[in-house]
Amino acid sequence: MKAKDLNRDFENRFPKRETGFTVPEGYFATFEDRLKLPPIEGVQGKGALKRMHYMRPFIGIAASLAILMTVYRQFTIRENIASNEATEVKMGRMADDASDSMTSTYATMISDGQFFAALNEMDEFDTSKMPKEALADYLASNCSDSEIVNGK
Amino acid sequence: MVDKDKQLIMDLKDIEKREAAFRLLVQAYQQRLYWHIRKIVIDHEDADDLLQNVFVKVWKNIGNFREDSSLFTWLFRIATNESLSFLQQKKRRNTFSIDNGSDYLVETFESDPHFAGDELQRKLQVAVLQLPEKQRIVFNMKYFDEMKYEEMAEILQTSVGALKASYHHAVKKIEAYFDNE
Repeated sequence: MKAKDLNRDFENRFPKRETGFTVPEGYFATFEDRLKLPPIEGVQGKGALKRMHYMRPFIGIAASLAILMTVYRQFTIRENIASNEATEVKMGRMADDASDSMTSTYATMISDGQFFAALNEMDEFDTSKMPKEALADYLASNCSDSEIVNGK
Repeated sequence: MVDKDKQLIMDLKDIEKREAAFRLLVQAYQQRLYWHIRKIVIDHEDADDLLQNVFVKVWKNIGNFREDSSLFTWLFRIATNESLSFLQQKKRRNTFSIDNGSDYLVETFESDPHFAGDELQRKLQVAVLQLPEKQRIVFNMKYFDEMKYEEMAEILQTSVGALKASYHHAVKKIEAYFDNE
């Protein structure tokens, strides 16, 4: 028997093309009300932007403090090289105090994650870890020739 | 329908109009999609959950819909994939093994309180549930939904020839089932 004939015979044998399945009463009428949709992506994006807007001043403060502390480190290194111990201790103490108070203020204002990220950033300013070219630039702009030669 | 769908897609991609357009989409397609899913998974509660998942997926992804296919095709493809994944998950969770998947579906069908068909319809369903998964879906789409092979080919991403062969084999198996009863 050809395929077409077989299919036609079948359709004659089972003319009622209904499954017999039913749904609870009012199912389709209430389906839409039961459908829980997540927030639209675009709106989520706007929310994230809003959050960023509020966080911006804190991020700015955190970045400024990180820069200040980096400058302070440079400053103390230079002072070290000048070998004025008394001044260095005094300045160091003052700077330490200032640094501690800045750090604690800074730590209360931002999240732990941001705080540790900023600390990591500062740790990276380690001359021993600097690439040779950067180290040469750093020494040229911050130390005298004799200091470099004497290895101070 | 095609023009209506085009307008609907445009509105769905517009954030301002999205919610209203989505309501129209649900109203337009909920029944067809439900019956398509129901015939695959049999149980009403499962079909209800899956229909909700389908609409949530559509809601989340409508912005990325590239319109390579029609909205109708895209919706049916999501519904088919969701239903097949659901059955696969059930198999993986050992609710039923790969070999006796049809037994599980027949059991589900036999205990279904939402079936009001006559004896012939009941027997036909049992026969259909004996078919391999793909043949069963092809048979349902062709026989019950009276879909065109071209539409089915787009949804199931198979050739028209393969679908015709699947339908023919399904019909032969169902005939044989009735002859042996």
